[in-house]
Amino acid sequence: MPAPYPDIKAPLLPHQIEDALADLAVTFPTLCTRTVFAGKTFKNKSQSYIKIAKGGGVRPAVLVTGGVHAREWAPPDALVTLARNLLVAYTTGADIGFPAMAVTPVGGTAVTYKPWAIKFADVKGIVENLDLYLFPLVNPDGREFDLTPPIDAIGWRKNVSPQAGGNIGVDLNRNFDIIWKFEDYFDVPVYKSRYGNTTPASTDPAADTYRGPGKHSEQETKNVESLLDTLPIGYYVDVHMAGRNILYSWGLEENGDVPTMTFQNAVFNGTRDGLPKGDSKLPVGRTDYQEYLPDDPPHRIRSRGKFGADIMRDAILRSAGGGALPASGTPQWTHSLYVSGQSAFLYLPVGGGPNSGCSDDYACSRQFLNPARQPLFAYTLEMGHLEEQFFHCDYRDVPGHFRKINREIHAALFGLFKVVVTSAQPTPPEPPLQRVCLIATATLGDPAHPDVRYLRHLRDERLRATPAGAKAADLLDRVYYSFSPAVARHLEGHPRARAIVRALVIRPLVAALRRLFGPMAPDRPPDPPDDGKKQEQAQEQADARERRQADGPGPAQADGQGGIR
Amino acid sequence: MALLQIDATSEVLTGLSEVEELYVVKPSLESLGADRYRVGGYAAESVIPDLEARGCVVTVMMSTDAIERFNRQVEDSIAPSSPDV
Repeated sequence: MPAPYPDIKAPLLPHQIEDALADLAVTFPTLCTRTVFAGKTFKNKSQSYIKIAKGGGVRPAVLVTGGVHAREWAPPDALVTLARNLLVAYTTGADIGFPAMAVTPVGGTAVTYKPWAIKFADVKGIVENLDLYLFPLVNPDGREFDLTPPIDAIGWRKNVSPQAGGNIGVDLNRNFDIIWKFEDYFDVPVYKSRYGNTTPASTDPAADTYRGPGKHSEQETKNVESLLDTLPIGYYVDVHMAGRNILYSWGLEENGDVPTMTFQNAVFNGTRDGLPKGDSKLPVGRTDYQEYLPDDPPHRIRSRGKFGADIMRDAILRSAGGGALPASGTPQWTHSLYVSGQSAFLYLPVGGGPNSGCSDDYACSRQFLNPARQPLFAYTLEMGHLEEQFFHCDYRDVPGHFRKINREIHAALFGLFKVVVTSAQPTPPEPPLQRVCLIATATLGDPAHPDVRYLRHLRDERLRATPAGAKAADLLDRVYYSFSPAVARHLEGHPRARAIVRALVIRPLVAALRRLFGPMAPDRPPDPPDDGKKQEQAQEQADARERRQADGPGPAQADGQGGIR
Repeated sequence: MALLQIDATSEVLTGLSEVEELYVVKPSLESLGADRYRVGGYAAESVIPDLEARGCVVTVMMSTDAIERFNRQVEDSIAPSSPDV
């Protein structure tokens, strides 16, 4: 179907969504490419995603998914609309316009919203500077089931694959290969003591949140994982319903600073508490486990992740005000105010704690499993509200629920896209460093400085060579990383203090350790034959860099601070 | 099933997991201040007295009949012959 496209007035069926994607690829062949996944769903449905981009080259990539949960009608339709709007606007040189609208909340009176537009300049910037991947309908079998008469009041959440005991369906958002087997990750009795005898996912095939018979057992899950594994995604957004929430990582535990506290570290298996800081349910003597999410430069993953969520929240509010923030307390403000928060603990008062096997955590985890990946920010959007009938929103002009949610999805995503394309290009990660010596790195200015490498070598290879040594190293890590991030941040901003710590602490310490333990054995990358000379050169270069830094912050430091640029 | 708005304290809300006939939509949780929260959910109207006895203030946003009428209307509008793609 050629443009102009009509407004969507009822939930699209899965084949209509596939047809719409195919149509876009045919109508806009230089801007939009469609890829069909090799595997088919249990109901033998083909699935596809599209890429929207003009030109090539290395640039940020964003993946947006929708329809993971069958009953959440609006996201797939809004993502199809977004793709159409983006392509038509870019081709015609026009803004994406949203007319004035009146929306009637359930049980309330109509609220009017001013016209709002996404400027062509922003459309152009996005199409020409971003690789945008859209996978609007992850769960077509489930959506078809949900839309098959008689439609159920609550709706269907899972897919429809046959399960044990004659049950059907797996909750795809508990099926991803990230702490899927939550029994290994958590101290389940502690978790249950806090969250009302529930678990991070259900093992009951009859339950709404059934995790499936195995990690990524479902084709739909594999499809999303394959995109996150093979594409250079820097930002992932999974659009759900409902609750007006914007969630950022992690969803599996509280965020923390200790590099050894990771989902990969088996030392913590069965002892992770899943509790927020200070919770009384933490067993006496137990260290509060927090999943590592670094906030160190250059990527500042934690603060930039939150910043991206706040950007989307504010963009939705601005769209409600016709482009400007509505005054606090006005109906436009009240009915469009989303909450941004860390995924793990946003629903505490109703027994909602960390979850396992979720898409956003799977996305976030990629950068820790593969250090070569660029920094990756992952979000879950919970669009719509009780007063917009939750999952089964009304598509008619009156009351206008879908129209409002569609506008909010556009606002949130374009707000994020705009920040992504105007930010600095993703910085290549430093060489794989499992555990960074923060103070030594801050003092010496380079994680590859010979002295930093030597300290890391002592701890990670000499000390960890025996089980007892590994335990001691873990203890050392916990103590060290309880204070070192703050000290390192202080040193980064104070060149004189850096010079003093370097001269009076780090250098004498490393010299003494070298005398005591001897030189470092050749390690990765393999040292060349003239190792000594190379190390001397590296030392000279590092010293020169230190001297420059001691003279004051340079341009790199000035640019390296703050959130998403 | 009716669409319900439920206001209660955190202690009362936590206890709602015992009400098997109630389906709480956890992401809909909103803070009203002073340890009072609002959440949405689905239940038959017959469950409302139990919820109120637990200390909830319940508002019926859509009755069971209203939801059924809405769903029949949607079924008509999504017939496969619909040209609206």
